Amino acid sequence: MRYKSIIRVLLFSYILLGVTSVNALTDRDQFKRIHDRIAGIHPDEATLVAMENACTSGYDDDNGINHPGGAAGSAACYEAAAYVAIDNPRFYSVTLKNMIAPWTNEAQSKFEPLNDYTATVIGIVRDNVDFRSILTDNILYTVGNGSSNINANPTALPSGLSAAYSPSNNNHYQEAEDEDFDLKATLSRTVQSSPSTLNIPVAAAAGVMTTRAGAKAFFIDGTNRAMFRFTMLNHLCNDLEFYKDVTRPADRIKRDVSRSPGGDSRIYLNNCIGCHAGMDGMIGAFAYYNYEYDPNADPNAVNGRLVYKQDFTNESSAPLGDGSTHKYKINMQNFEWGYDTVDDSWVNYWREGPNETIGWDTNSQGLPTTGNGAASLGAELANTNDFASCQVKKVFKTVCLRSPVDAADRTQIDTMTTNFKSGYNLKQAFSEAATYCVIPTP
Amino acid sequence: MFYKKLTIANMKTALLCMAMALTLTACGGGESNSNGTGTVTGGVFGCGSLEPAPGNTLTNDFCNEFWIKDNMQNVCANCHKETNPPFFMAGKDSGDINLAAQALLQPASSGDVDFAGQLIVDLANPSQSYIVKKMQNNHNCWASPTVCADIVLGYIENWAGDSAGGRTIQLTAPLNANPPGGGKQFPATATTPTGQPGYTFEELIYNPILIPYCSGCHKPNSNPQGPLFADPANLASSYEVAKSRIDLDDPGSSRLAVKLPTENHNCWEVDMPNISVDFPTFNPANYPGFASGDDCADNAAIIEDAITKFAEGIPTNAVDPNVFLISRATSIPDGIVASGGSRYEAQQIALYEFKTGQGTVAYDTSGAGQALDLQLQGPVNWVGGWGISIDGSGAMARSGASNSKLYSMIQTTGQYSIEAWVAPNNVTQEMARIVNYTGGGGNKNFALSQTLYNYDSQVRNTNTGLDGEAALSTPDAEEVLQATLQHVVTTYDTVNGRQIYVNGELKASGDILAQGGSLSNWNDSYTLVLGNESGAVNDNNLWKGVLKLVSIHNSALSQAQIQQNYNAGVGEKFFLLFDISHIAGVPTQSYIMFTVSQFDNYSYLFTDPKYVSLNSSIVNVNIPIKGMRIGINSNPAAAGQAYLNMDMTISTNGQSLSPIGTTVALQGGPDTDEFYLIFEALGTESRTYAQPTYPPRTVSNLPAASDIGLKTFDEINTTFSAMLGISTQTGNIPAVYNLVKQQLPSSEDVKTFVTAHNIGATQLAMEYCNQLVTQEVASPNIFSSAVLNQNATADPSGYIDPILALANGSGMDTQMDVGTFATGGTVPDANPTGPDTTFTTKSELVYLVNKLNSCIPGTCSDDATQTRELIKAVCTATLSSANSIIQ
Repeated sequence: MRYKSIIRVLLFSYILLGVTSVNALTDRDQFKRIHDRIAGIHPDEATLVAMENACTSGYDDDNGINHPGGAAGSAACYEAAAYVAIDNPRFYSVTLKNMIAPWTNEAQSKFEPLNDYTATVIGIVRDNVDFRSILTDNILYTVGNGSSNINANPTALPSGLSAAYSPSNNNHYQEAEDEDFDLKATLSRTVQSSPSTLNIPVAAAAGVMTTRAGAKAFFIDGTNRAMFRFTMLNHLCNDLEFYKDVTRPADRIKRDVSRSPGGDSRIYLNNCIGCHAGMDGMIGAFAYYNYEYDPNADPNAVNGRLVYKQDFTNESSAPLGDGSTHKYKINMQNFEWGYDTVDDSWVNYWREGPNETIGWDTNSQGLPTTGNGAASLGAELANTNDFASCQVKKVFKTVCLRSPVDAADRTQIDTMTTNFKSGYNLKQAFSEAATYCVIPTP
Repeated sequence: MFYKKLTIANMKTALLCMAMALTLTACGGGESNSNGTGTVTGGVFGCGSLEPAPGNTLTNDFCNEFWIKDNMQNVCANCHKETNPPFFMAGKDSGDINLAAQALLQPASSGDVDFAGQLIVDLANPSQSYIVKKMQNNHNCWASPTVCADIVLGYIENWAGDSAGGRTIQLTAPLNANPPGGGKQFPATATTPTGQPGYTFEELIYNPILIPYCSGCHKPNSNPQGPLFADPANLASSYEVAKSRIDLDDPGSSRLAVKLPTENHNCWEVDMPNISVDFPTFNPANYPGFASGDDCADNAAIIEDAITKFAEGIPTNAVDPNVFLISRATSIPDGIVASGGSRYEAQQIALYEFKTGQGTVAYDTSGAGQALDLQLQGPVNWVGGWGISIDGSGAMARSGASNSKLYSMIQTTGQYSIEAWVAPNNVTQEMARIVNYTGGGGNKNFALSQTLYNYDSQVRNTNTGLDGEAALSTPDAEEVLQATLQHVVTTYDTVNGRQIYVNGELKASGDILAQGGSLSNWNDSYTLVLGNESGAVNDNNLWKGVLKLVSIHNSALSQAQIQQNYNAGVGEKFFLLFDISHIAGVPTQSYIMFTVSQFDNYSYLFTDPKYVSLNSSIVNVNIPIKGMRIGINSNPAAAGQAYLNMDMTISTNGQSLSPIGTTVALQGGPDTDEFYLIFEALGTESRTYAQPTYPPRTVSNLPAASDIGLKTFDEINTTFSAMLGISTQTGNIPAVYNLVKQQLPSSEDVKTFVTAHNIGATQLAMEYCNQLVTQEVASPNIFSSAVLNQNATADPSGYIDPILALANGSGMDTQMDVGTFATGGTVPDANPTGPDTTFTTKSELVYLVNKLNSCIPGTCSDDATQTRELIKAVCTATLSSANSIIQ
């Protein structure tokens, strides 16, 4: 196309922006919005017809669950229609992928390539697995035969995909994304403890926290506090600033935290302690994890891997790891009377104080306030009211394109949270959000 | 009960506590001669060559650590060799050194009744030695009395340390073991009146200050900033959180008041005409500097005033033992001087411990040679618990130019060590001189510097530059230097060159450059400067931070010696004994003992809690202890409680209760702050302390948000794919998509839309349409071959209608107003000329087609080639329009 033509086309594109107007809404309008918001793409005529039928006649979704539908314009109608959109493969490869991708990197970029963290969450949603398992279970999804059965040779590669899952690179998922594989059809459930995946002990697996991508983002370098911070941020929806409480016991604050930064202990007593008192008590859970890579040959850590070892010797030597001091023993002399990690135990001091409002043990399971390892800490976090609330808030934002802004929105979040906790099924939250956020009557 | 400990002195406490009995008769008499007359020539005696030789270890250590020192040889020996008793310098020229040592270990025998029974030298408690008091009273001192006393005390401590491998400190019951004096405790609720009507937290602090000026951030919301003490929806929760930011005993020290002026923290402009409305209880007349133009100071005054009025009405009550299970109180002045251990100082030639705490001189208390005292210049401030803080432009501690002690003593050995306890202010300063033996302008004999996370060591020798470069540095990757208190030593000798040790560990070595060189090119006129370059203000090399000790040695300290000095610690420390004997189920003379020091200007350090019974017959006990808190003045310390989870049974005398130490905020200062311990259970008693409850956090409304948003990158790509039925993997589409992916919207927020989004979408749409038309991918499903091959001026509805149908759907109101075609593919308003023209999608597309066809018959022809261009244009315009980009 010639240059002048291109300019004309561009100008014309602007003109077309804004031609949409609303006069008399039909259910078709609502179905189109529901489909746009859930599947990310326009529905074609056949899909709109399917949604109309689902609305009034009910719909059996791809998991075999019936959604009975209801009168046109009713909530039951829209929920049933929403499941038509949920069954669209683009719900998984576009909407879910882009909702989850920011959770898997510190920069919170949506452009993060597909990885095992994202794929595992997508798989959990597809198979209606209890969503709390994202922080607790020995679970992993690879691109394979599409089975939800971990005994069904899950690592067999689909046609056209050459890179198998590797604990040392992301090629498997990158290729699947580059070639736009249908994740709904190909994601296969397996376990992190499998020799063909991460090959970590069963007890070491803790959902997405112990995926390769989770480790690459949050167990890399540092002190593993990043895993705690970003798990709180991504799955309880508040950064540590929100949780600051200087009144909690200070006995688990580690030795690497200066009690007098720059010679001014006010900074510690008024700020640092607010996060570290609670956080350092809980990061013991991650004491045995590291993301090891060769910082010289692979400075971007592209070929690193998750390593789990139950001791505090120095990190592994090259080619992975640099033989440096164990990350839980760094800067131990900053405050020699601080806590010295001796195992992977954790304790939750935030069950009391202002952070009791997180809603710990929200399902009254009698969960202990202490434990060992990442999975039990994951259970502690996943069984909070804020965890459930956070998941539905993210769904709400994905579907409604806004955070809750007023009392009506917050009530809807509360309702969705209560419903979510009844089975921890994220699809249900999508259908409820889509129903709530239909086009307002003009 | 005895504890094997070594000590450093605390003169003030020792003076307060000491009972003295003996007067050491001075040669020359009186308490004068403060200018001193000692001329030091360096050590010339060898203890091993004395005749008779020291007969035992004690005397041998006495000789090495005390008797042979320059000050003793050149000053004290003038009288105490054989003229005036006690003859503790016997053995110099004549006499028996074994008798000299014994002469010091006797009680003073006459004269000074205030010191009755005091040992002349008390190896168990060096600071209580009579000879130290004598120096303090200006007895023939060769420098200032304080300096002389410190020097002699250091000799005794080293003697004691060497002789016994450690000194014992006898613990004694504190003189004042009273119940805590108490103070003001917070009212029960935020609305509890505290005196005058309306004087509540809510009405004095929350409503007029916190809500208007702090709730923008310090409340639960989409981007909250803790602590959340200004929640408009939750007064009770705000009150609980604010408590830790309010000091009832000293309102001006409240964090709420201090934060704004010290950190320039979101200060607000006071509306002066309405000040009596905004702050009805505030009286500006009480704050002389008010309204002088400093918003932060004005804000602090208003906050302090409100807290003052809040606190004034709260009665001062003793801590109620029925409510709190408490120990007796104690304080720093009641403490027993402790220490960390003995330092290795055999070849120390300058020592700065910064003990004086006032004035403008940092004294060299090494006792070696002519004292190399430092003048404090610029913003250098004293730090509590011994230390100075180099705080800003032009700050430094600098020696006089005429003292060449360092030069001469280091030239003698060809080796040196710079040792310092430092707390750098930050990890961003570069080429910042911590210890600098300098001639200015970059010239130096040696330096210890900071560059970001590294310590650097500079030395001038015959292999390096006159500026001491190239420096030896700690490894970048290890980030050894931290903005916290660290012990750092750099050594130099000709074999190893420079080495750097941090916290006792070797962190930099292999100094090939400096190895084999000599110090022959040193300059003897250089000055010792801490924190800067010499001479004119040169803030390019300013180092900001705290120095708690600086020492120069004329030897390269060994790893073991450095480790010894690291283990010895720094600063003054005390044993505080908290009496718990009055609690049921606890034996008499029982104490919880902490080692306490002033950590910096703002906090105390509590470490090493032990159970101690002063009844030495008690060995085994059975005392349950649970939930221990540290109380300071009227309340438990708001932050830093590290023993809340203690839950154990004490079984033996001397049992350690925890390896954990903690810091608690300083309030009035070490002379006045009172400490006590609070327990949930101890012995057979217990108390229950109610925890505040926190209602659910509520959030405020956010601005109304748009009901529509943008499709994001993947959604746009897959929408194009779905509309045309063309795979995302077709032809060049993946390449174009990867090219424009990050140009497309990443946020659904419609307010984030920018032109670049549309251009990116257009580029991508163009490629999809190219595949549709040029490659004829999926085109048979959309329009016939005849349309694809028709002339350019033929009816365009054959391709416009199918494309619009794919993009638009049907039966909806939220779709494009496509309009209708007239016969022949024209629309009435396809060539708009006036402002009132009605547009439809089709009219715009036809207008586009007509415009593109204006090239006929110039640069294009009325043929199928041109038609395909038209179709691509129509397709691209339709795909990349708002219809596809907005959801």
